[in-house]
Amino acid sequence: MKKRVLIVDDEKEIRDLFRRVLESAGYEVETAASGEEALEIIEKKKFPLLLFDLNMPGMDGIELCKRVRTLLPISIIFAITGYASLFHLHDCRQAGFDDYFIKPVSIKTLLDEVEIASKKIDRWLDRTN
Amino acid sequence: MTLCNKVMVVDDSRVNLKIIDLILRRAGYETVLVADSGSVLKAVRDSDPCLILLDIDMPGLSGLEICRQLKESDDCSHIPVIFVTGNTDDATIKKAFALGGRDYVRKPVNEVELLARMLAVSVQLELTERLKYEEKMSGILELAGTICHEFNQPLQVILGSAELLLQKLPVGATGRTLAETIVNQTCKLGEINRKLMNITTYEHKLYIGNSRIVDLEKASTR
Repeated sequence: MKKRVLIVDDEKEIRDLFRRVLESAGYEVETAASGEEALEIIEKKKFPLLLFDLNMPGMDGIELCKRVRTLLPISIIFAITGYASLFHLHDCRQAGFDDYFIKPVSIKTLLDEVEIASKKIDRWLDRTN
Repeated sequence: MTLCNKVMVVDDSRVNLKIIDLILRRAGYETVLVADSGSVLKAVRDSDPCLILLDIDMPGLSGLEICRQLKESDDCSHIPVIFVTGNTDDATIKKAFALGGRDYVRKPVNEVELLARMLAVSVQLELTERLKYEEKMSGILELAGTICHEFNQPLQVILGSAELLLQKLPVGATGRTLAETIVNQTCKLGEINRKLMNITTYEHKLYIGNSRIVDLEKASTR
């Protein structure tokens, strides 16, 4: 069964693109335009897979990841950034991100990684059940 | 550190010129000697020294007046001036600094003192140049970062959309080659952006005529 994915990016075109890509691969997708909006959505629903832009007005992706990591420990969170120098891999890992992509990322790469993450979540859930 | 080498010495006394010339050349400096105060500005423009040793009391234009003219000119104001003078009363020294002099040396000239003060000014000059370079680098990096961030958003949308289009077009369909070209070229732009993000040094190369552009291959660590 395909999983629920939350995409957080302040750029509407990016949200729409990733939604289209993931929905066409069978995922159930929700989007948020800011870290604050994402937290409101996460309070109501659980997401095993999450994609965060790093550089957003208001709460940035690093801060959002730190908060979400405590709320959703059994989840996989990816960072997708347009500006790699601003946040480095070290910061991303420290914040709790599982992986890190620099825009423009190929949708094939993204889908492959989401698929791998989805299987990993399945394994984790099998062990806990 | 590349320190100053070509020094102009201005003094109406031929004897003083000869003494300072000897001291400087022995210390490895190249010298440009000027005895006529009225021709200093032209001589500076012709020889482009990195430091000027300027006598104050001269017939015609005084050293203070020459310094004022140098500091007011667009093309010479950056050259540091050290006054060499027998006139060291408070008012003269105060004016010498107010007009842009970096330092002064008393006459009769002491070789050790003269060379030490020249070196100090030269190091100061080099540090100023380095600071300018750092500011330039910082500006380039900020600009590169802004370009990358702003460009990567639309690049992501173009790349993703073209890939989606490719998925929908069967092999041999009209437009498939065009969609592939868009994907390939967008990936190339993404690679250029990644190089821009990794610029660490100010490396440049000739472009058209005398204009220069940043050499991405050398400037980027990627």
